[in-house]
Amino acid sequence: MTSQRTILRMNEQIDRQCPICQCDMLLPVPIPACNHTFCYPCLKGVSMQNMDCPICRGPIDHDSIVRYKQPNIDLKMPCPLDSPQPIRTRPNNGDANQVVVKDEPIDEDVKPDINALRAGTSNNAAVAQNVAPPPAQNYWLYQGRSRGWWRFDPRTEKDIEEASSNNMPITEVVICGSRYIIDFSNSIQYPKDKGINMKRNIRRVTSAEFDSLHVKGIAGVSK
Amino acid sequence: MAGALPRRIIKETQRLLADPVPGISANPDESNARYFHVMIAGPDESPFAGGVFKLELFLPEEYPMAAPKVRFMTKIYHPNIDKLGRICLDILKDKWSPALQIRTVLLSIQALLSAPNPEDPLATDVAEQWKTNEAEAIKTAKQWTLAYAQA
Repeated sequence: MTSQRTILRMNEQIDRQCPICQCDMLLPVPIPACNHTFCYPCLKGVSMQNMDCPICRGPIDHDSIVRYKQPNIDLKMPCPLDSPQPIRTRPNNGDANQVVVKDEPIDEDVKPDINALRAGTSNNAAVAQNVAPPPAQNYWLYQGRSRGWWRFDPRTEKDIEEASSNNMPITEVVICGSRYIIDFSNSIQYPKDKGINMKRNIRRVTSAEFDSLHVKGIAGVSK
Repeated sequence: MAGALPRRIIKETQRLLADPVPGISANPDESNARYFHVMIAGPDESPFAGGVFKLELFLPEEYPMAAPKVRFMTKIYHPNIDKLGRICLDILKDKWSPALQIRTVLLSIQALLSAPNPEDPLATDVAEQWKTNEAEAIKTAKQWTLAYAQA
């Protein structure tokens, strides 16, 4: 039997989830015309490919997505808990195709999470804080096109940090639907298909260093 | 340089395995997590009832910004599926949306088996037969199901 509490929790889960990445929404942004809401990086990826709203196929005003600002953005927001580690293929075991599946909590979805449920009634930043208390944290930044620094979105940041702590020379991430190479030895990133001419500097900073820099925003969403 | 499997693909795979769609199974290949071995049971009340159809489904690098690639491996007599197993289905082409999933794609294919659409054919000869002599077409579809789609 499905209890009322379970139904509430499932609805809450669905409301929190981005229809594109199917993870907890990160920097949720509505499409102005239809109000369907997605993670900012997901929506930007759709918009950059000139696609319509993934839910209703209504139009997306590309300019409003690119110019989107969130004045009360928490620049140090933690990564949502609902972010399973990506499965990596292990390059050095002779068989490049072998998939290494990590042990991970398969169904955090199914566990009752009263805190997240309660927090769901307040704003999203509060949800993120309740479900994922940040450890002693480092941040990954990329340089803006003109000047200043942006923080990577916390989910991508988590992947970059993991690759870095595994001493990988480079890693690959998907940002707004496009593949980027993160080159740790040269402290740069560049789009995989456009190449190194489009490089930008990256850096890993402590919380204190973060405060001393003028960080403009997260993944294209500015204050 | 080996890329990571996106979280969305991991989540979809976990859900497909934990909570499968009735009449459909989808299992990732042991050596390639983007390649799925799919089986769809022919829907009751359709000429494909009693058959089990094998398909392959591949998630391209751009997924979910681009549609999965799906193909029937089992021979099937259907106006929207050609000799090579290619499927004529709008959501696999211009009507793809990144909010669709492996699950919804396979449900749509299952629905296509229940409701062949000879007005939008891929296999023109089959569609012609379906339009001019539906009873005969259904009979052939049943024969093919018996001949080729037995598990």
